[in-house]
Amino acid sequence: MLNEKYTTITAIHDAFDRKELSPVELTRDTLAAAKASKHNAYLTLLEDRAMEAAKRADQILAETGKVPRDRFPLLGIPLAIKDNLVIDGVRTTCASKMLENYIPPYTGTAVDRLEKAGAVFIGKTNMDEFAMGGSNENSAFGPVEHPTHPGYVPGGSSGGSATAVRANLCVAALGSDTGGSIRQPASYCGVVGLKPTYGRVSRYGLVAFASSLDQIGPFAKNVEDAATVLSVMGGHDPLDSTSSSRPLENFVAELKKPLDWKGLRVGIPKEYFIDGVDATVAKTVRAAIAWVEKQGAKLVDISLPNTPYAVSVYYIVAVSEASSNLARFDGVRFGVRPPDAMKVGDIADFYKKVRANFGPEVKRRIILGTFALSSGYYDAYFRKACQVRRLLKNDFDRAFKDCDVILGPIAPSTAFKHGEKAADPLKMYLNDILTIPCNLAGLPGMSLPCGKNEQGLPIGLQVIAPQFRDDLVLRVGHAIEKGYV
Amino acid sequence: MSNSGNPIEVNEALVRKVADLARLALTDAEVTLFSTQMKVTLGYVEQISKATIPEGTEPMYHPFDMATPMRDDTVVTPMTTADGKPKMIRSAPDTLYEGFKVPPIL
Amino acid sequence: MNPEWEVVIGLEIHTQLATKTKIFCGCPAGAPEGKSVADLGPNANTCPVCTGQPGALPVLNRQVVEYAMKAGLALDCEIRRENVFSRKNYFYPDLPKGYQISQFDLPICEKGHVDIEYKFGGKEHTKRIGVTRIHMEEDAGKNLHMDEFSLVNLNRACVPLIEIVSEPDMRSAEEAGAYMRTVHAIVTAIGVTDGNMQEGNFRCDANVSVMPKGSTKFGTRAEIKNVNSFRFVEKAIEFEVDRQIALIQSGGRVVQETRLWDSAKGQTFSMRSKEEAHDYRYFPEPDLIPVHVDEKWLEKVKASMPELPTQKKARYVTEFGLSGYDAGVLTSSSSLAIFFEETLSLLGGAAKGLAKSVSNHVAGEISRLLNEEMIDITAAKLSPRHLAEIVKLQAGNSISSTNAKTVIGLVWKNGGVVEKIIETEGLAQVSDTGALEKAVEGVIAANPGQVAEYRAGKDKLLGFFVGQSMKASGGKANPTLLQEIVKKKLSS
Repeated sequence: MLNEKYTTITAIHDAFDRKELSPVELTRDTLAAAKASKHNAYLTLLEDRAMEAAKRADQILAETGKVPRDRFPLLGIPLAIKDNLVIDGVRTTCASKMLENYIPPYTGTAVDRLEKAGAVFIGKTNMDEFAMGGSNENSAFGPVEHPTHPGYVPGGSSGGSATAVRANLCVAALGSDTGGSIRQPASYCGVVGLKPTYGRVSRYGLVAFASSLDQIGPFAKNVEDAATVLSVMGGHDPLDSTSSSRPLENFVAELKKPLDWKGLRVGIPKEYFIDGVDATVAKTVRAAIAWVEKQGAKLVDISLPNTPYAVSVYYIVAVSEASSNLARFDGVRFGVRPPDAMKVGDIADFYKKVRANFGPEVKRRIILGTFALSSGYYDAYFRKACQVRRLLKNDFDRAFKDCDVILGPIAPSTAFKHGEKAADPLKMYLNDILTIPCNLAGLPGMSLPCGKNEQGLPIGLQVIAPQFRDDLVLRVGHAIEKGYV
Repeated sequence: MSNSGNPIEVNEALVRKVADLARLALTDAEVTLFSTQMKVTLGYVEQISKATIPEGTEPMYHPFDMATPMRDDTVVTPMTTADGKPKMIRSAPDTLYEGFKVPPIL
Repeated sequence: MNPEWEVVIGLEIHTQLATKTKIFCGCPAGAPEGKSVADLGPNANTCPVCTGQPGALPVLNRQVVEYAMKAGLALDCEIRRENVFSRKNYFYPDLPKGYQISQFDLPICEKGHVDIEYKFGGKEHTKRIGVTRIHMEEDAGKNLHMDEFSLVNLNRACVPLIEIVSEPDMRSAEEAGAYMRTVHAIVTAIGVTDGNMQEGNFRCDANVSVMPKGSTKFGTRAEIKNVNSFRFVEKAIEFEVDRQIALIQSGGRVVQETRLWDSAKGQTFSMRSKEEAHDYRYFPEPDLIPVHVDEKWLEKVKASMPELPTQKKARYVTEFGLSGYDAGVLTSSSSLAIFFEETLSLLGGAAKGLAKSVSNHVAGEISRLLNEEMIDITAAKLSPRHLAEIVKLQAGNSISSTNAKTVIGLVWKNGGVVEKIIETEGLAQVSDTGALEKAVEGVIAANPGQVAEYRAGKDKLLGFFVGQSMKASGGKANPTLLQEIVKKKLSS
């Protein structure tokens, strides 16, 4: 199968140039593999749309001879899109019964930019319902199987995208990261996953979970591919008021610059190596850090003292915003409406019948968020959480005076077994403690595979940099990937 | 914990009240389960009351400080489908005369 | 008004801003030129943003902020340099996102005031009413109610509004009416809204309570929602005040509730008794960062402010010597002021001398006709050209002031050419001395008794002779000339 042989953007484009591979051939094999796969990574396969895009790519190649990388940096590249990113005319479910039949009337900015760059969309990937979860067990359409270890979860919420990349069911994929939903599954599945700086990628067309935390980012086989995808989809969008107007660097060109290891100060937060972190995970991550030191980087012990509050702050802010963001799912303009919904005495009952389509985790979070915003509790919960959020941000601002990047683990453990944490929501929430701070502070963070445990389950190294230093995250990650991994 | 600092009692009545505000109909089993879980979760997140918050710490609602961008007052023509209908009603569960149909309100 | 009770009124005025597009998306805010919003198909003006499609995001219309700032400046408000949009969460089918983007604790304008003037009990009163705040928000859509179901139309969803909230400073229905009129005059004069009340583009909610005279503790208030006429707001408040007083006097208690005004029955009625206590769960809108108003922008908006009605009024008083009341009527709507000024400009060099006469007609007969028909002067058949001609003829003694009024009434009804109307209706004034002398001589000859009394010193009888002579002339005599002739003939 060609999708097993050609797995990165650069390798595929070189093969296109040499005429040993065509976009149509690659797309056909990738679609076939996706169809045959038992991972449940895709909720919708876009066979016709993908083949049409591949044919267009073939035509462009026939005209240009070689891949016009400047104009079409993703020409003929099979990509997967998380099912909370809307595409005009393509079913978008957010892995919820609520949106089982939803056909959006528009295309989101990031996805649109990828398509215009020549990408071929293989399908929409499975996820935790409305991106709420860390194991992909909250999908209304069944869990995703781990790409290499059957019986294990791929992580979440972007579990389908991580699995699709690792299992070669696409070359790269888009996910969204609100509290670790890209980095954690990337770590569990052994692929690169990047959460860019908040505001770097337009959220227009990303079905909102928590608006002040959500960010779209890529999954890829290597850092260079992630940089390519980010370069294409990032940058200001007039349709998203929270997208930054700072000019976007050419991240791929940045990677070509050699990294000055000796000038690099690497912060190691002591709060990221606490008791809860699995010994093998800590050891593996420390080994990678030791290698970085050997290259000449200066290690700096830093403290992010408010880290213990991160999960609490996150679970108040995220669910509060979510309770409001999910109010639009009312069965009036879109979505599934139970057959008896019109036969109600009261409009409130109509809403309740429609909103019964939410899964239990979504209901749980809406209730918690509604409570945190309600009169009498707002100041004690929402407002206070936002104050502590500032303290967490201040922690990073202080730390980044002493270091350029921060390295640490992504998750306290490797992938766990299906059902292991499903019964205990709080246990699942606490698993996000090392990824949440980046979202709260709006920082770029990346998961880079840096080893495996005894069972061969992948372990991710987290690279964090100040806001809008996505270039630094990518360069450091790239250098480690080249030299260490 | 309420605004006044008093501890709150998470019980089934509270869960029902909040669910009603969020227009969620819960089964009795869900109410029981959620109130137990909410008790545990709130018990945990209440640790933020122990954080040392310096006087005058402004709540952070956005990851970075900038002014909201604004757009010009220029019309973008609304989208229609091939049959000339408003595109925004295409995915609606029930429409009549291009309006969204809902149960009688008043 | 009941002397034992004091009335406390605060108004929340909602006015639609005159932008081309909606507040958070590029959809048209209204109908195309020459069409009414009623002609638009349901949901014709919609997009992913204003229908609340998943993933769609709001982007603020700069013109909305500018209009809100202008309204704030015109109402003497402070402009908040960093103001914030919040979400007001509630479920209703006409609210696509399940929340309204509005402003809550940090609105764009605060701490303003409006000076109102009104006539009550035959006297002119002035009073300063505090403006608590002005904030920007999006409108909701419209539900069309049928028997078996309702239909939701989102053309109006996301249309920009400002809400002007007053202090509870008003103490009578007249004050509330005067406040609403004054605010209407101001916001239309500065061009931030068309002020069209029939289409609901300028409407108000009135908070009304009563308390025993001398009390300092306000009573429980009822909110009368969505009143879209000056007269209705006065009537609704009057009804509500009587209802509350009667209720308390009969041992009942006023409950805090939302009521609606039924103009056909002339009553307010409770909207819903089982209405749950609202908990809107306001929080800062995470999809919009705070709005910054810098010095440069504010200065630019200040410089672009047109003359305000109060400034215009003061100018009319000093420049044309008009009374404060008349100047107030002329500046109560910008179209009336434009009508007045256009008439003056048609009078050229004579304008200054005739301004008072023009003002008398506009503030008098014309205003009466406008109120009677509830139309705007721009919709009338009478044009500034008509009025200029009438005033000129009146000044040249070609028609009497009474007949000038008659001509105005005739043009009002049917339009036409002023001179022709005067001719066909025989309204010209007689200034022919010979003809008038004849008429006066007739009256003198017919009333020898009165003549003797007058000559014996009863000066009061002069009016009798003038009146009789006017009657004899068929009401067309030039009154000044007539009086002179009467005096002359009686003393000869």
